[in-house]
Amino acid sequence: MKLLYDLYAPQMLSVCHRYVNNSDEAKEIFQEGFYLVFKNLKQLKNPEALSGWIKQIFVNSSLNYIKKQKKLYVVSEINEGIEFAFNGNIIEDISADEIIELIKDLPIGYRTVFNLYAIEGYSHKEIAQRLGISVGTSKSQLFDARRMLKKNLARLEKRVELVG
Amino acid sequence: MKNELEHIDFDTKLKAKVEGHELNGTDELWSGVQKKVLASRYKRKFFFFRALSIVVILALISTIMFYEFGFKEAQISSNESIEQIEESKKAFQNDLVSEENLIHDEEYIAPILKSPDKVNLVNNLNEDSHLYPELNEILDASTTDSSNFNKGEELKTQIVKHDKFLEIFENNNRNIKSESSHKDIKTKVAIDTSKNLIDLNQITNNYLLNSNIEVDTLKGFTESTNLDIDFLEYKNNQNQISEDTSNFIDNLVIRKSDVDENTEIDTSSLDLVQMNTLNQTDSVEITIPNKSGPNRFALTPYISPLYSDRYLKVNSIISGSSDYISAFRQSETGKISYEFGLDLNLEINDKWQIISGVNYSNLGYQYNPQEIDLEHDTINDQFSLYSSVGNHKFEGEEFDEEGEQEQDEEDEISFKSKINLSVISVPLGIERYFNFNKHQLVVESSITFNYILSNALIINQINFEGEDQSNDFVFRNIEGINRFFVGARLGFGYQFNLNDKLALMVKPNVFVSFSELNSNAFVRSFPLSYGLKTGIKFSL
Repeated sequence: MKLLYDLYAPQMLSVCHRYVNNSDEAKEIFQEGFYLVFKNLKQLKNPEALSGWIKQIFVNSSLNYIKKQKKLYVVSEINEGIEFAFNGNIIEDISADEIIELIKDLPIGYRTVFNLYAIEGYSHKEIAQRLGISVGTSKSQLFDARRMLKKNLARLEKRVELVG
Repeated sequence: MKNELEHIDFDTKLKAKVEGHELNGTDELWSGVQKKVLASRYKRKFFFFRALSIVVILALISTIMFYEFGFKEAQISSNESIEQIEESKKAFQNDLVSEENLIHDEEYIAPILKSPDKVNLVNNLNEDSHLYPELNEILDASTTDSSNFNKGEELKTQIVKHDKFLEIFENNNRNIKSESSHKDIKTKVAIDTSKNLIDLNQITNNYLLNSNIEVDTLKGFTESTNLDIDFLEYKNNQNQISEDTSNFIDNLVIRKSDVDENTEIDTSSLDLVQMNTLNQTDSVEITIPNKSGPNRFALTPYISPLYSDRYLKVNSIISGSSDYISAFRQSETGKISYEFGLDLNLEINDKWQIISGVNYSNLGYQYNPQEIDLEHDTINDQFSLYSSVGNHKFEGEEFDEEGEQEQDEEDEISFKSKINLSVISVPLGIERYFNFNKHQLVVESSITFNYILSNALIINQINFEGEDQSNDFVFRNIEGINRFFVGARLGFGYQFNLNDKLALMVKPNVFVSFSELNSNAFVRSFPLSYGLKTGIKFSL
């Protein structure tokens, strides 16, 4: 049991941190996730898909936690036609920790949709079904998430430029 | 297009950076996981044994109750029936009459039922005294609803009664001889001619006037048979007999061997009217009341309005998913529907019955999706329908559209949708009856085996253009639905027995499915319905 834990814990902890912006909440999801892994391990029919299966459990646990806490709400920012231009290379220059912090800074609705679509690879239709929202809402949340991330990346780029 | 590529590029870069990122955990985290896992193992075992003990206790209680109150009663009642039959058999055995000539209860009762005074029957019988207790029971148990005898038969019966009376009379005075003569004692027993009874003047001729029987002796006879014949009255009122004597004659026990077609009747004393009556055969049939046995089977055709709905569960890897489900369910309601069928009951005893049958019901639910996306794969002729409350796929030929398709983009549109399931079911269960004379309370518990004959999703698109317009889109054969599912029904009802063959039944009930309609979906759906069965029960 410890072996499995040691193998996947660091990665899964990062997954949990991406969905909530509170360290304690991430730990709670993390523990719940591993509990479910050990509880349902016998049901796994395809051992080759173990890592994907485990990740799926943690994603589901995160979503479940968010819904349970009634935290999922959608925000619409009205930024009329403002585009944030930035050099895509900034993504290469900053660390993964900083990118995760940028993602955590997103409102929970943007963050959840962005994680599911851009990182986990779900379609809008699947996201809509999972979260109980419409496809249109999912698309708009993703659009706004990207806009905000780009805005924040642009600021970061300027700071980097200033610093040097 | 350019934007889309930029977005994909953006997402890809971020994903590449984030995926594989790791954070170091602490020992505290591992301890927390261990505690959770160990706690669940204890809880599982505890729950398992607790559930097992409850099931065992319930099974024991059910068995004891059934044995004590159901099975034993059936046994006792059947034993009683056997005892009653045996006693009755003994009652009719007599040295003078062979067993094959004895009549069983039903045949024997008919003549006796004309008697208005069953108590005197017991008192007035002498040589048939061994019949007394059993006869009382039979008379009490039988109905008095006998129809008229055939006139000729009736007269014959009465004649035989008379002979029987004489026989009894003679036997009681067998060894009595008297020298006194009472020629002036006339006993003309004129019995009510409406009953076709005959004149018993033979009593006077054969036993009173000519037998030299003293009045005291006669009185002795009457006392021994509890008759109260006022012979002085007879002297003065030649056309009357005492009520007791009339009752005695009426209540004489007649055996079949006494009145069958081979019985010879001495017609020498009969007048013309009586002769004609004896020869009459036209009349109503004799209805010999039979003690009806238990009605074993019953059929109940019924109809039932239904409120049909569903309940949801998500896959077990998601815990605490009630909020997720409630979000889903906010857009849904049940629908008013119907059920009809035929129940078949098998009576075990007067408290327990086995129930089965077959019925048809229309199940489903309604929901109001905020958005609906409809995609048509023209190559495969397949429609895919996406909404916030579910996705469905249909083959092209399964799509029916009623109404106009044209729609202005500026229209306000709302959707109402419903799922229709045509289901045929076979229940198998048990009913417990609580009897209050003609009224009965019924508790039904049954398992139902259900098969979906057809299913459809109907979307009603409502456009508002100053007036309501609506289009119906019908999608048949929803993908991924399990045709066969199992559930349980629980009902509490009331039954009013009009007679022993017919009853009215009203039974509110609830049906819950154990197996899901869509086993491979993230959200699993279980049909649920509330009904009010109303029917007429025919006992066979």
